[in-house]
Amino acid sequence: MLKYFGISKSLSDSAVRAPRHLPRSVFKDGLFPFSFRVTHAGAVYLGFVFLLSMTATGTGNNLMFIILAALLSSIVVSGIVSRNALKQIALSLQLPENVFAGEKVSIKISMMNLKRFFPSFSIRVQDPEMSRRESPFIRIRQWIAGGKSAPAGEMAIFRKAAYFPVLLPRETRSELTVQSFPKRGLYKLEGFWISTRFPFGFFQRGRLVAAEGEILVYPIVQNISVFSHLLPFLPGTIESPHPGPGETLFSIRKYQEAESARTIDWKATAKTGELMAREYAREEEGRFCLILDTHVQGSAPELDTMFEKAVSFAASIAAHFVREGTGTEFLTPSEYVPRGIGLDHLYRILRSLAVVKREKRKTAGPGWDLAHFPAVKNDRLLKELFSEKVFKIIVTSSPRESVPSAVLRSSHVVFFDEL
Amino acid sequence: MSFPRLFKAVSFCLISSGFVAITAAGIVTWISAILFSAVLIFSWVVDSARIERSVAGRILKFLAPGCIPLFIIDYTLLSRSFENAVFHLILFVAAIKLLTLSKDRDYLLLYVISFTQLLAAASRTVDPVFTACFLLFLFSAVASMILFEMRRSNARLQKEAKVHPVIVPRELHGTGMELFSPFPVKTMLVTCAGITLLILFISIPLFFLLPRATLGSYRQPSGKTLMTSGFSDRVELGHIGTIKQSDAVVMRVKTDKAFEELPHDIKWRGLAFDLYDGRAWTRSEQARNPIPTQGWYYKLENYTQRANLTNQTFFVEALSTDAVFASHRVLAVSRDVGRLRHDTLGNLYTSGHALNKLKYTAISDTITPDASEMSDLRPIPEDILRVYTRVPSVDPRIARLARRVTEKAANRYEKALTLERYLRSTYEYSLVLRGTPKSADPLAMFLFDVRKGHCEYFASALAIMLRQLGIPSRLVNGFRRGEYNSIGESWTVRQYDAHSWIEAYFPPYGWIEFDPTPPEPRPPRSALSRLLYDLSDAANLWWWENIVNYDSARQRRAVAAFLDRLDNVNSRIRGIAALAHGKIQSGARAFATGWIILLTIVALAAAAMLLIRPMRRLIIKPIRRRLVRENPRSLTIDFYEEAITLLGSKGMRLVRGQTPLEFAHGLRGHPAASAFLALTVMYNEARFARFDIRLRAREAEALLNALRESLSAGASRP
Amino acid sequence: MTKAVELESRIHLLQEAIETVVRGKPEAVKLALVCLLSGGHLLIEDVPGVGKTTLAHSLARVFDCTFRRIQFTSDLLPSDILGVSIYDRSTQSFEFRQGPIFANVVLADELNRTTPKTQSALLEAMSEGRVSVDNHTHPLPKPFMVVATQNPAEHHGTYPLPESQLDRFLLRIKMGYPDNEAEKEILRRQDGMPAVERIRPLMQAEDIIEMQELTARVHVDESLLDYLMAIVDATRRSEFLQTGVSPRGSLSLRRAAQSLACFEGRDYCIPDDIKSLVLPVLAHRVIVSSKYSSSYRRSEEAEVILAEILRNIEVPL
Repeated sequence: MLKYFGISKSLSDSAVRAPRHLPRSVFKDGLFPFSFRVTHAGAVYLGFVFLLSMTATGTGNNLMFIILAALLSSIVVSGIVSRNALKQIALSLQLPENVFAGEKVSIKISMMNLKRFFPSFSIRVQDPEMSRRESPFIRIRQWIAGGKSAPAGEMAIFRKAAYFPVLLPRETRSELTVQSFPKRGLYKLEGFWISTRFPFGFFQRGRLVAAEGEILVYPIVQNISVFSHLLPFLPGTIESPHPGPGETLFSIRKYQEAESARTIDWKATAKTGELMAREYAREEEGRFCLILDTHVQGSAPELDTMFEKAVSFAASIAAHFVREGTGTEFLTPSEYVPRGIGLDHLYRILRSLAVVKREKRKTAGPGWDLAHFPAVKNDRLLKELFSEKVFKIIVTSSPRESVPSAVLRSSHVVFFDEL
Repeated sequence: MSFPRLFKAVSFCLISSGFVAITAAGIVTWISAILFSAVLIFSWVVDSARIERSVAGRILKFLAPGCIPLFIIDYTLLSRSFENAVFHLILFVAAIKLLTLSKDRDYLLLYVISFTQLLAAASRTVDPVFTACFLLFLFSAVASMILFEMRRSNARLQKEAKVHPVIVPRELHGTGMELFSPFPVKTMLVTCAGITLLILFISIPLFFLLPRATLGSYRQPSGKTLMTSGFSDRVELGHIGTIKQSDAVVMRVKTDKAFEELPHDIKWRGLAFDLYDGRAWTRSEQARNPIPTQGWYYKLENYTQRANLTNQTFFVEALSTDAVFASHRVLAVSRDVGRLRHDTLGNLYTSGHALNKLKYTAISDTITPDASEMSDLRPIPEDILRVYTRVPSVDPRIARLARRVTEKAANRYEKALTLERYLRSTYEYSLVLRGTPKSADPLAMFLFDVRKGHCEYFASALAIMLRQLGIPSRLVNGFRRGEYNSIGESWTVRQYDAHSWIEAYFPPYGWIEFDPTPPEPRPPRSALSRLLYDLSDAANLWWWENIVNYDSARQRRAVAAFLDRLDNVNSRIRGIAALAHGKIQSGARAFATGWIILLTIVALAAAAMLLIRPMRRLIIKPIRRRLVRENPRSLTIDFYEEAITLLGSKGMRLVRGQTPLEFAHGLRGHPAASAFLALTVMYNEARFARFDIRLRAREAEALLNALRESLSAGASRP
Repeated sequence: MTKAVELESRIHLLQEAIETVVRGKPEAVKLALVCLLSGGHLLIEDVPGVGKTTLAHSLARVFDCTFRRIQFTSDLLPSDILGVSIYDRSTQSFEFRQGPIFANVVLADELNRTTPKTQSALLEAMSEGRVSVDNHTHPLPKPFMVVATQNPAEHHGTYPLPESQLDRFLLRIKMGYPDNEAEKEILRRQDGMPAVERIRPLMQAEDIIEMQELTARVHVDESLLDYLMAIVDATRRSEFLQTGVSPRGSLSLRRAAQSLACFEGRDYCIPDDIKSLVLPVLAHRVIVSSKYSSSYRRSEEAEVILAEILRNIEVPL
């Protein structure tokens, strides 16, 4: 059901621990050391305190000292209380198992207060990347570096902030947020960044709660009719003309001895006066294989967009055929998925399509052999796939001429630039 | 209670605390207080955001600048005080804001206004009402700021959500505030209380530790200046009498002598006068000369061997006179009195404190003259004789009377004593003020006609009579010892303690005090009012002495003392312990003030709240049941709800989604489990089968009782 | 009141009798009896060898009625189930030979192994209560109960019943493995389990019909109907479910709750009756949204989602 990214506990507060899979450069990224920030209101407050302290020491007015003492002690208490609020918080994220790019998905984020006595107030949960982007230090660094926008954070799972106003001791609360993933691919969860401005809103304190998790987002699947200009026909189940066990009536013939009495067709028997038996047609589903040629020549950025379109097209084809109930095989240079049916099989194919990458063309040659498709382990299988036994839809960027005619005869080829 | 309502409640608490503080301090009039309260209540009940948008709101905003002419009228005609007018203006602005509350910054403005009001009240007075307001302010400020921050964080999130159109904001939750419901109000308030206490706890040592640069230059401004007749340049006979009607506190004195040790006739000398013109006393010499300082003190005289030193600390209210009071003979005065000057009469003057309270220390030598040393043979210095024996033309009978009474006296000193005694025993004390016709001699009228008067008359009579006998004497106005406040260990001197006496010059001592006035009756004060007064008075004094006058000198002394103790471990522990104990005791006594009343009110309120629930159950519910014709179904539900409430009070609650039977089974192991199970079965039957519970009411009651018993039995078990 | 008590004792008699043969699965037996009393059909989903056949057979045994077992294979034809009209040359007419479906209790074993066409033949007969062949209708016996089984783990070469078809089954139960003690006892016995044949019939078919009618008269309070509808509404509105519970489903839940009430000797329903039956009655009728699940875990996921829904619905007081 919903994939449950195991509970991420923040066990000790002594030091912020980075999840192990993060590169060390993260520490320089300005997130971890600056887990404490002054807000706008806080700056005003500190300014006022400073002014007051000047006045108070100047005039020696004890009333001002009283106020100053109260204001300073508020700062101290604010620090203590906000630190306590962020302690012992566990978080978990629940996502659907099968997600498509661009699709609105509802995510449940749950926060649990592990403390026995103290409630936590006003906690905001974000992906660490998002908060990194907000940090003024990062912005300054980027501005110095030339304003190239940070690529990181695009593959973050949790793309929206959530806010929990109150969490009583030992209580769990959940928030449902709706978000979408922009592209296909592997999205990783780095952790959760929880921050609070509790109690007074003058200071913001944050900490990272380590977590691990990832999700594969499938490419966009569209209705096949969108591609009707590319596929002039919509193949279905093929019936092969052979007798055998099946459901459709093939013929009625004389009853033979030792045959099962079940096959007797009594109506025909009544008509003809002789025992007649039924024969059924054997259903044979034709084999179908979807081939995605990921070898692309050149490295222009337009090729990236075309490649993405190709992937999305392949996904849509696979979805259509599988939903029709056709046994589908899937082949790329790096992977071969044998025949299967059912939604699970579709997801299996989509999982490969989610991570498939564009590769540089290695061989200059014809390219339709084992060297080109190393995922297929033996030559015989490859020959079988390319034979007429298997109907194929091929998506490739190779020029038309490079496709062998034998292959062409039993397949329908779609070229990248047609998409 | 929902979040928006809670937020409004704490904000209003905050606003009220400032408002109550300034009302109690007398800065704003009662009329404006009542009007503002009405606005406050109205604004609480009504949704002011709607008003703001409506026509009424616009009218109000239009009226707002009309406050300025009102302010001018107020200042010039009504209250005549800048401070009062300003705060009336502030109150007006606050009232308009209250009626048109809509944005966050409106709330912020009201918070700031409340803070200002609290500050103003603080500078006026520190009394139980103020302290209560201060605590309330602190608590509601903490709560308001916390809730305010939560509101803003939520708004920030909603704003972000709108900015990214791909991400659909909170479709599932509505306006966002539902996120906050149900809001755990009790937890929030307890947390706020905890934070407030923590802040108080930390700010107290912080206050004492913050470095001070100056020497207690804070003069606590006083709202009122006491008019002090009798301490100006010219004192007519009868002036002192005018202030003797009032019981306003003039000053408080702390001495280093215990209550029993301090002579009962000690007086706080104010100003002496040497020139009498028949109706009034003045000073012949106006020159005021500076006094040399030595260390922390102004040094007036050297200490002699036989000195009987008394250390006095004066806490004087804002007075219209610049006289410095101290008991005769002053040897030194501390420098925090300001710029000290003196004149040839021995009067001490400071730079005036008509607006501020004043605090200083004086060291005096209280002389007890030895009669055997007084001999007429010692000569009186010429200049003194010249100045202090001048007598204007007065009724000749006065001189005759003086001579007659002192016939038998052996020496000058004896004569003075005799006259003093004579006046004291022969004439009556009376405070009735009588004007004297211009022609008459007031002293002669007093001595021969009326034969009664107040202290000025007695003193003037004695002074003149002594002068006519050739003994230098001068009139002194000041205050009597006052009333001892055993809680604060201080002497409270009021206006009715104002007194006149004389000083006469007798070598080798110099000027010696004589007081011919018979004892004056004190106005009676009930024991209770005395106790209450003493308590709050002592508290005020403690606050002023230790907080307001806390300065770098005290700080340094405190730190030095602390470091001293660090040297010796044993005495440190003992010392601190003893110190703490003493401080707690005196502090506790000082602070356990007439706030007994306040605490009683709070206790009554709490008791009332606690009693509400049982009261409801015992009285209201049965009445309701009998009045209303209940249908059996709601009776059944009531029956079950009662059982649930019983369990709820022990902390067992029905979880959402749980059926009654599941709940009952879940209690397994608890002593009340079987009773509750039986009850639940009966409830199920009554509820879901077509069944009238009234038919088995007795059984139902029995089950409830069984449940109650098993619950209390379970509770009493360890 | 006494009627309810009497009913309860009769039900318990049945229960005990079945439990002599079907050991260690009291819940399954109870639900099977509830299904019988409600006049509905039972679906058992489980791995082979846990006693599905035994349960179905003992159900039939315990009241004196016919029992037939149909083993579904991939080449089974509808006529193999319903029956066939045979031409008798001597009489020159067609004679209808009843298929195995004409029994009081029919065990349709491994229903998911056969083609959809054959499946629908059975299901139609189930819902209509009669068989139509060659323009003749032959009514099915009363009482009539189908106990179908599915093996949820196997997928290869199966035609799993879609949820719309599963809707016709009142209850879905899982047998599960017997508990340790019971299994040990089975192993201890040298002669295997007592044969189902040893169960003596306790009542007649008419008694069952009577009991069915009695259970249908159990009082269901209005607030309980509200509760039931709240649950059903929640399933329809839930974003995790593509399809919620149909009206047939809500009706089934009510009917089953009535029967369950009789188990405890009540002639009125309480919320617990409804709540405890939600999973068996509704879990197989809802369709979990495909993006939240892969098909092979659908049944568990349905149960999880339903449990979550139940947790959030307040029980009426």
